[in-house]
Amino acid sequence: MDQQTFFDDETLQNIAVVSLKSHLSNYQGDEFLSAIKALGEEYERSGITAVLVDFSRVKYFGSSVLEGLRLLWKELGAGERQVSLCGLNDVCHQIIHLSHFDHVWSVYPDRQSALSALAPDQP
Amino acid sequence: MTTILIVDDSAADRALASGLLQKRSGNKVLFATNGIEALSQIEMHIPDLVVTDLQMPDMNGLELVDAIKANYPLIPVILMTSQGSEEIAVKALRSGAASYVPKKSLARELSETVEMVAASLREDRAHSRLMFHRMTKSDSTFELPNDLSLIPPLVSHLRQMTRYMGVCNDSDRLRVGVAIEEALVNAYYHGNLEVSSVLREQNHNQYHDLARSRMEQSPYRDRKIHVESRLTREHATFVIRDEGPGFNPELVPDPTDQKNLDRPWGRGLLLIRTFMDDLHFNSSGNEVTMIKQRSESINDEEA
Repeated sequence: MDQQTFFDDETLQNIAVVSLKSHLSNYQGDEFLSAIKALGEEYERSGITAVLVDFSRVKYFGSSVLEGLRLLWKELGAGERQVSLCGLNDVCHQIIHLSHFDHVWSVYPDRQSALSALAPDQP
Repeated sequence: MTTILIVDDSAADRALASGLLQKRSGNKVLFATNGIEALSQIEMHIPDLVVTDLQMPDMNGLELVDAIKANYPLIPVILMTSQGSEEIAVKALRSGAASYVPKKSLARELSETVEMVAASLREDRAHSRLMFHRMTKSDSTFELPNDLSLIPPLVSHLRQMTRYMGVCNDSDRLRVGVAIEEALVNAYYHGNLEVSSVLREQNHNQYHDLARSRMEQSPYRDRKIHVESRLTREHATFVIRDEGPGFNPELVPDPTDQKNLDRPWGRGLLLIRTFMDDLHFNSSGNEVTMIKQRSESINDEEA
């Protein structure tokens, strides 16, 4: 399975935006982790300054997605490049909060507010 | 009356599809010229089904299928495919599109395909009317081979049964689904295949490679996952047992401890503990019982 099975990605204002797709099941954890690890390696080589993960199409997810985000964060130097999340519904937000990842990643209500905060000087 | 939303940027193709569908009495047709307009239309008036072109500006058919499945999962989507769009059609079908009709065969197949999907939809609705809040008790038992691909349909089935029983609202049903899925995936990897998170911490590729190789070896490949569900209007109980040696849940590190934040441990168990009202393991640790009580605040409309 390729990356597009799990997410779309684009670069906006030097910020990589990863938009997760709606159907993210733990049973595809192996393929998801490989796809997200490859993405992290690609970002590590590129000049991006931050990664924004957009959950607006996701209704719920489990530990495989948490593990994928953790891997992405590690690939990006665990803090050297900022990882932020946006578009979380209440269930997804609770999952991030329970895992305490909201202690290390910023959470924004939607993509627009995240991009404004991450690149405030851009038009 | 079946309301059908036709989405196509070509006026000629919209007219052709509409003419074919309106020949059958009882069909009402609405139009949109791209995916974004289609979503606005759906927000104002939910159709019974959507018939969409794949290649459109702004939001293509695949993106539209994704958006409909995420926000309106009960609306079936039928694709109109043209030559060269086969690959995107396969992706759309994987994303949940109900069927497809090649544009060159619209005249012959569109009406029949729409009627077939609409008939299936009517049957589903009749079934839901029978089940929803009329079923008072359901016990079921599953014996699964250790096969990951069976997990999503089982989770979906159990979530649906919880819906029929009216134990909890939409959000809590999602949480129950997450908990069941985590328990089943634990039974698969850690229980039956005996692959440990210690290995995942060292190298996640090796972790999945070991899981794949054990799927070819006895005794791992012969083990099963046993699932029992007992649902009443008051609570839902799910018992999941693997055939591995079991584990001690007390020894799983707390994933919320700051020093464990960077480690791949215990998050599935944390989600299960949080999303279920009661959780306990048998003495050998290869069987977990999860209970969701009916929420006191819930009323039948919410459920």
